[in-house]
Amino acid sequence: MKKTLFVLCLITFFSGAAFAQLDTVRSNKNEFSIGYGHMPSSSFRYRPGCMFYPETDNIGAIYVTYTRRLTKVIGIGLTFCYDPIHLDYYGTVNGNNTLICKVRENSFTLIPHLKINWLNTKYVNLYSKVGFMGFQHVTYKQEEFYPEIYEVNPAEITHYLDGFQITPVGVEVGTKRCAGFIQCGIGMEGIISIGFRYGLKDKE
Amino acid sequence: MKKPLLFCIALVALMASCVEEPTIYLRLPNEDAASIPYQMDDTIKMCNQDGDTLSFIVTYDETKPFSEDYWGYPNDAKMSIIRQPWCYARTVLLHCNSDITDSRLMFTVIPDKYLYFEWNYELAIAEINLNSPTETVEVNGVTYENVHVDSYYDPQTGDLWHLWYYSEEVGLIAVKNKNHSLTLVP
Repeated sequence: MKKTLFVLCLITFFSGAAFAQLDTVRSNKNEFSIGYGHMPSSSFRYRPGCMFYPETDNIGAIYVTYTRRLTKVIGIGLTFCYDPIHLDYYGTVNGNNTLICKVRENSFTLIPHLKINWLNTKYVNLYSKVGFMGFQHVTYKQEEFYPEIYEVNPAEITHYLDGFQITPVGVEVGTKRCAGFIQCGIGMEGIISIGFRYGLKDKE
Repeated sequence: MKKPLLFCIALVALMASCVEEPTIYLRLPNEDAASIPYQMDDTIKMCNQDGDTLSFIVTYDETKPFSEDYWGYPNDAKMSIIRQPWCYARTVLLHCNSDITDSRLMFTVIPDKYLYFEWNYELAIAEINLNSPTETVEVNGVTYENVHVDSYYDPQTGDLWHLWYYSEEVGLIAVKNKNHSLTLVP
């Protein structure tokens, strides 16, 4: 029952949002964006009970997005995210806390997404975005310094279907063709991210 | 209260699922592994508190990744965060299955010569650093040198919880608690 109510609420919300756009400015049919996200989920580490917890250097995620608008409210597309991560593991060697292993990790993710522009005005757009079932490929390059003392088993190069992005709210400020944006959410595009969006000129 | 908590747990699980990490284990040096002097199928004879002689046979001898949760705190682990394996440990199990008793002795050594000992789990559990000072003791008329002595007494009643003698050359020499004991038969 709750689930049905939730779905009905969603439909009502999005229908309302769709009708609310009738008198506003139409979005571009094809748009590209490039952005940088801070703290993407590919960098998120929570390993309770681990003895060796790395010191991380998260650069953040860089991503490019293509969105094809089906209507001026709803668009679908693909996002490609790249997240390089540096991990330094420390352990005790001869009583001293010493660097025992360096890992350079690169995460590449391709996520299909759904983008809802729930406010389109001349200079400001508000949107939400969700993406699930993303394909993630991670590469690791590791360097061991004390192989005779510590055994380091590399993480396997992985292929997942769990790359995701949930953006409850994003703001685009600019013209129909070019705009800067800032968004917050969780997932491969980071908790907070900024970027630039370019819309291809529509054929009349 | 429960729903936000579940939501947070689901969120953390979702985010953490995107990340794989290497596993790192501290190796067990051969010298440390050799501090348990038993090999597979070895037999040692021990005398119990009633004077019966029991034959213990080594039925398990493996070196595997180890965490403290796999050792002495399996019940606690269910209530808290499970600690991940962080080093290799050698575990040796001696088993005595006779008409008198079904008894087992388990020794686990981790790097830096830290030894865990368990006697039927409930009869005695001990942890000892084999780098600690040793003593010379006499048991059943035999003098043993370089013996690690470990004893626990009830702080209130003064009753003996357990006492055990262990040597890296000989192995277990004696162990006893309030009602039970095992002593090595030379």
